[in-house]
Amino acid sequence: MVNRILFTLALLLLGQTTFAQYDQLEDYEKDAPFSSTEGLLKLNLAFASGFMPNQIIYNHYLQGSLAYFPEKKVALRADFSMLLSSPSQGSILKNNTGIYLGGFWHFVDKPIWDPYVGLQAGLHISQTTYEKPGFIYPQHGEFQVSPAVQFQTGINFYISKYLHLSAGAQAIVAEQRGGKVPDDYSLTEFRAHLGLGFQFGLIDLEKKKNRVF
Amino acid sequence: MRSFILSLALLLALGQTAWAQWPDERDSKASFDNSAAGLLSFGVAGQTASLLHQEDYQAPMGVGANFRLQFHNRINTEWALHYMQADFGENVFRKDIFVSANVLFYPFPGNEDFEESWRPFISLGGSMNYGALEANTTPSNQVDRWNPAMALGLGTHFNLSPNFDLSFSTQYMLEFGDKLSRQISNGRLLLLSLPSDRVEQRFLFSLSLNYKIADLW
Repeated sequence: MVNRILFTLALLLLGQTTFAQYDQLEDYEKDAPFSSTEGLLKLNLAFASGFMPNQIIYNHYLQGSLAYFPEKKVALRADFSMLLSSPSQGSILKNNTGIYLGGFWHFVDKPIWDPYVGLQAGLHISQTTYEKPGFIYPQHGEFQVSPAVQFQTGINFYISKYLHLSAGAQAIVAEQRGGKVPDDYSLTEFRAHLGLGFQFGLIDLEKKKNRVF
Repeated sequence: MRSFILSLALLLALGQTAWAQWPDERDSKASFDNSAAGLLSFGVAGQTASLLHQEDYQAPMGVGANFRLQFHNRINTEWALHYMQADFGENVFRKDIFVSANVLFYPFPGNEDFEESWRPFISLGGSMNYGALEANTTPSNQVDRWNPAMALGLGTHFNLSPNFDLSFSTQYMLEFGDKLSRQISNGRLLLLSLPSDRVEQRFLFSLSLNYKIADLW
């Protein structure tokens, strides 16, 4: 976990170094793999590791996102995440799937390195086990739907016109209640992720620029 | 613990890098014409609330979606659906669904094209509120009801671009009708919805991201 975070930090520092090689933003934009983020559709698949501070457990997730840029620097984005494993000893988390919808602000148009921040609202579908008096083995609670808010920040690195790498961090606030489980179960979590994705331009910007109306 | 601190440091470092490149000027122009009337936007929101005079109720967590349809340069409307959950004393939780309609009035002239950052508003509206109590261990033990409510609020849009805004708002809501409560009787948990003389009062705090998707007229 620590190694993964350190690797992400290293990636971030590398990104800063790359930025430092350009005196002017215009020079930097000349090397960008595409003319603008406007009209871009992005698909990304990532592996994430998370830490739940209230449960003191680590979890691993598969995450995906679909983003569309209706204008440059602004992305509307849907995310999903699915629990792969919760290896910490004593973890009672069995399922934790999240779906989110929200908006992202990307700080650079025509990017190579593309830092962003975003806010999303969504729902978690989760399940935990619980101890039932008279039963030897833990019982599975019912699936519960819980509201969730997610803050994200990170950076994309555009390898080519169609391919990018991503690294970032997330803070998720959510709480599971009920479902035969006597106590609440906080799903609040900090995650770090690394991913790979594709992007496609959906708008012909040259055609749009020459449009009469 | 070390990993937790590193995660926080990472979050801060990434945030700082991103903010350092915040553009000085808005380089995204509004796609709509001179009048803001007819603008339709869609948004998602996170919410929390404070219910007054109700000790059992803990701070809830909620999410929602909303449409905004603007009728005049200084009058907007917001149509929203929000879902919230909260602890309600020991072993009980409360669900709330708000189906609401609000009028947003922009008290200050100017910035009608949302080109500048801040646009404060006053909101007034009504809603139908669904409330339900459910026992944690026995989900079949539950009670629910629908109540009408009205709300007065203050808020502001923070325009990241003319089409894209982050909005903060606080609403004071008065809810009329049956009140939800819990009682322990002979060791049994009773969940009740009873008529009450007292109007239920709450403060609602919202943070939403909205994007203008169309200019209808």
